[in-house]
Amino acid sequence: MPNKATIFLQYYAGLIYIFLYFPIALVVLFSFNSGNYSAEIQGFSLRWYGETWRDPFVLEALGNSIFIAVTSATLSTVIGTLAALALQNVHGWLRNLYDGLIYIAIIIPGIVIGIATLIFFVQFFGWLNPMLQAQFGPSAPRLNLGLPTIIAAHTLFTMSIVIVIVRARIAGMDRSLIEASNDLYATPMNTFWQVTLPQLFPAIIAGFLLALTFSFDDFIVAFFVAGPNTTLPIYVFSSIRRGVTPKINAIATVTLIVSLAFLFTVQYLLTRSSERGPGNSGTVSSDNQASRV
Amino acid sequence: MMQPTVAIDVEFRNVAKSFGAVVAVDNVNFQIPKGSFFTFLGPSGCGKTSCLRLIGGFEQPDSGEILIASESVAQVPAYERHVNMVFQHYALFPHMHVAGNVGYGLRQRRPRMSAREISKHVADSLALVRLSGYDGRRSWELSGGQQQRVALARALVNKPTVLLLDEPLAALDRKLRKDMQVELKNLQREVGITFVFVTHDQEEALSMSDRIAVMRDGKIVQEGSPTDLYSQPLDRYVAGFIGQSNFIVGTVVEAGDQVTIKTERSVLFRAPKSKVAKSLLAGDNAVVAIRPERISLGNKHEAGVESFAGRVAQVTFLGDQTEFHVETEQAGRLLVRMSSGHASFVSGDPVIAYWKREAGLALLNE
Ligand SMILES: Nc1ncnc2c1ncn2[C@@H]1O[C@H](COP(=O)(O)OP(=O)(O)O)[C@@H](O)[C@H]1O
Ligand SMILES: [Mg+2]
Repeated sequence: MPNKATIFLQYYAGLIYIFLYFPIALVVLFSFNSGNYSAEIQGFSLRWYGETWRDPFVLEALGNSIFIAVTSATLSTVIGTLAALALQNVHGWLRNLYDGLIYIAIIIPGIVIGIATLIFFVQFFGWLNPMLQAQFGPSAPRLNLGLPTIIAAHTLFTMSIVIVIVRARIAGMDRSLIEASNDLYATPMNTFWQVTLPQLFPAIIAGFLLALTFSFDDFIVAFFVAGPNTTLPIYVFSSIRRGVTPKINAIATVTLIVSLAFLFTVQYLLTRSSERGPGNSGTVSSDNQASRV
Repeated sequence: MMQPTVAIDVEFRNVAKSFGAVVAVDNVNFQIPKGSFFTFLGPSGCGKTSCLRLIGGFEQPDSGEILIASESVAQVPAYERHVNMVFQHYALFPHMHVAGNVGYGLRQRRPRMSAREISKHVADSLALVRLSGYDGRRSWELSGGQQQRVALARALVNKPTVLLLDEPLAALDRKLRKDMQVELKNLQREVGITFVFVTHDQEEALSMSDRIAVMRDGKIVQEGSPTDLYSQPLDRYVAGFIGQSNFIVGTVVEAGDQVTIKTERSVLFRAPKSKVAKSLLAGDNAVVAIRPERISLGNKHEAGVESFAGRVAQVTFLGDQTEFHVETEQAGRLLVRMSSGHASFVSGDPVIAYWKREAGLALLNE
């Protein structure tokens, strides 16, 4: 029989969850509201989803966000994977240093990255633009804040996530698979394409999806370096100043569902690959396991 | 001058390899004749795997020379050595099905082999290890024995000069291991490839090998055929590692082909000196090794044999044979193995343990 303390703890845990998820549930609920105001429910409707979908400002922001997310995630996946592979050949204190720096890069607050990248871009462009002018005359391009700077900033902070995920996978990888490939006449290059890369593939995809999600959801960093451009979170932020409309709720709900879908995929990829992964190829499955197949 | 009568597939000349302070392979020399079944035998950590990895090219020797098919392989990377390995845990590629695994080596060939040819060789190789029809399976869907045979097929399909096997049977259960020992030996005869096998199981080594190298602390202690090693062990370590032995320690009183030894209890007895072991001089510490099956039990002292009186301490029935632990006053505890029909002693019986003089083997006790 549960005593009073246990019962209290159960309620307490329940309250915490309500506290965490109630606002989110409200957002989802009100996104289906047919009325004009978020405050009162007037009936169920997909009206606001339709309106959102037809709003050219939303579409532009969404297009920017998708473009930024896909480009920066692709860049950070390529660079991060290469970095993770290269770090395998670094040993001793230097490796510890690199590892530490990667984790620090992950926990640095977005606002710091935002300010730092903004200062960097402004300084850099302030130095580069006059040089371009001097070189090519007044028709020379003037570099400024815009989508490329958001992409660069996002690549910067999502790259360390990719590195950490791919590194974990490399560490868990069975070295003997590489040796087996070597033993079977594959050159180091072929071994990389035929064994290493396929083994790392789930982690690389997981890293890509996480980078995609982080970039798509990011407001703070983008806000600093966006210049005149809007991304979806920036659009949401600026329209909230005119009051929370059901449109915002619809956008939030869609963002939530897409993000969750990505995160579940990541989770699935990482657990599945560790279950059937190379780390387990060494263990010998028993006979009854084979007869089950 | 001795002419080699058979070609040598693998040769080590003063090969040494250390990992930090650990000397894994300590100045090792050996020759493996073409087409033979050669085994490295020794306890865990004695450097067996390191020897295989040196042959395969996964480690580079610190010093010395390795020759494969009479050519130095110092500059040859693993992927260019015509040698294949069955890894201890098989190392099957989990992202490929069985046929993909087996055909892996063939797909690396340049100029390319046609897909038809590859699949034909893969099918032949799977048939060789009796896994026809398993092409589409994944490695995790296979039992331990099946995974092992896929690993074998994956190596053999390349028709290597030498096949390296690192404790391939260790992960299998006892019954399957016995079957696979026979199968592996038959397979080796069938394909005629040189097998270099690693095991810590002396029974396995004795039953499969043409030649065995017994290793200890990175050195080869003794190399020879299974019968050589069994009947003429070089020292106490080999005598104890290959099969079981009783050891009676003492001091050499009279050297020669027949050595007279005084036990710690000052009893004198004689045993022939080992033909291969270091010579024994009067005053040396010696040990006489006697195999348990060479000792008999009786009720009275007989002439022309070495005998010690004692008492049966323990009887273990093994089916066709029975083991007796006999506690003797002068020679300590002796293990005796006799056919079950011939022995009807029970625990506590006074007995005489005896053996023909030539059953003993006098060795230097280091
Ligand atoms: N890569 C390595 N790094 C450090 N020590 C090693 C390495 N490989 C083997 N050793 C050491 O070398 C010795 C011999 O190892 P190994 O050849 O694997 O022995 P065996 O196969 O007979 O058990 C052991 O003491 C082992 O710890
Ligand atoms: Mg080993």
